Amino acid sequence: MSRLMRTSEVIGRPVVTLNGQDIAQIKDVVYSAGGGAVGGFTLAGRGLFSGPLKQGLSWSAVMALGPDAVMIRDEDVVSSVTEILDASVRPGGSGGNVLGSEVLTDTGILLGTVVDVILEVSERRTCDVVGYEVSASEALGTHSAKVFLPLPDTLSASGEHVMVPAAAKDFVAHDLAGFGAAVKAFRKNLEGQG
Amino acid sequence: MLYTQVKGRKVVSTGTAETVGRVADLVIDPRSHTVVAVTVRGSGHGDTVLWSDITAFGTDAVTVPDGEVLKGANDAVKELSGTAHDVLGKRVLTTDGEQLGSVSDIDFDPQSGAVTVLVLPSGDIAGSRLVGVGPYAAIVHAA
Amino acid sequence: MEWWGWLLVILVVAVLAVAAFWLIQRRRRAGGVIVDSSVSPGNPPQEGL
Repeated sequence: MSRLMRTSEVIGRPVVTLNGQDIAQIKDVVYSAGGGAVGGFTLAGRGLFSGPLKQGLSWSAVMALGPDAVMIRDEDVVSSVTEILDASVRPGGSGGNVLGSEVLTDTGILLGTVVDVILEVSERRTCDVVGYEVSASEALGTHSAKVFLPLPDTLSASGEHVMVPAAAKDFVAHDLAGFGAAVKAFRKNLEGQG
Repeated sequence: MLYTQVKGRKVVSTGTAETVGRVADLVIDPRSHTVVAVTVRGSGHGDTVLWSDITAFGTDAVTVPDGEVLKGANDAVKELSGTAHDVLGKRVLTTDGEQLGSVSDIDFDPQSGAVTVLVLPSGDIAGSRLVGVGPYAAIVHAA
Repeated sequence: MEWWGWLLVILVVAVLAVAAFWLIQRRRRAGGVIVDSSVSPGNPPQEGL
């Protein structure tokens, strides 16, 4: 069984070793624009006065992304943050942040702005970005202010815009519970066309 | 035998029949799921007695051959004692990253020292599931 | 200055300090979702090389 979760729930979650030490907490979720696979996380310190850390956590080093903590074997599995954040991502952080980016269809219609990103953690221990929670514009024609928009297998995104196929707006879900089915239906629909 | 019931129990020397102190804490090795030592307060000797030096862990008193077995903590015990390694009151996380609550009591076998059960408000957890104990949490294998 | 004048000054300074601390913490700890655009449909990861 796979689980869907919002990245905002993952951010700030403690990173705990099997020795019961909370060595850090999640700061940013880093994913690749290609397949949407989550490559890893940047970390922040746990202390009241501690800021971002120079270490990062690659997805392969994560034992479990649980509802209350991110489990790792021990503190040696962390890597340098530059390995997580590819050199091409502009330094300074906000360059590639998709939170607040505008959602555009490939036909050039603005659907809204990204308020959250939905992750799917599967049984086979993969973690993918499968959709955006979007603060909807009028073009979507929905009555609720926030909707879930499914993503295709491949997508393009920058800190400025995220692109979705025009068909995505026909597969909008209004709650996270129904979203898993919406993603499946949407991807199946895309395959049918191709 | 429950942890909360043994706290403060008398430690008596069988050689002199005198009380040499009272149980302060149990030192648990999470890897072997056993009590490896007992810390003692109010003793004129050291403050640690190794589990192997205890004659018996009785319901009314803990007996030791004599006060001399109370020593300063050795390195192995030091590494496992202190508030960071206290199991009682600590939050419990599974290896899946799910929080189960905090430990309200620990049941252990007075003969072998094996930790048999971690008692939580949400239910009991077998002591054999214990993986590690640190400043943030006690980690147990996911069921 | 009256005694309550000093009290007012102390209160204002305390409130400002708390606000500044809170703002700095929020900035430092705020997380994001970063897209690594070195791998994108237009620039697929090179395989078999």
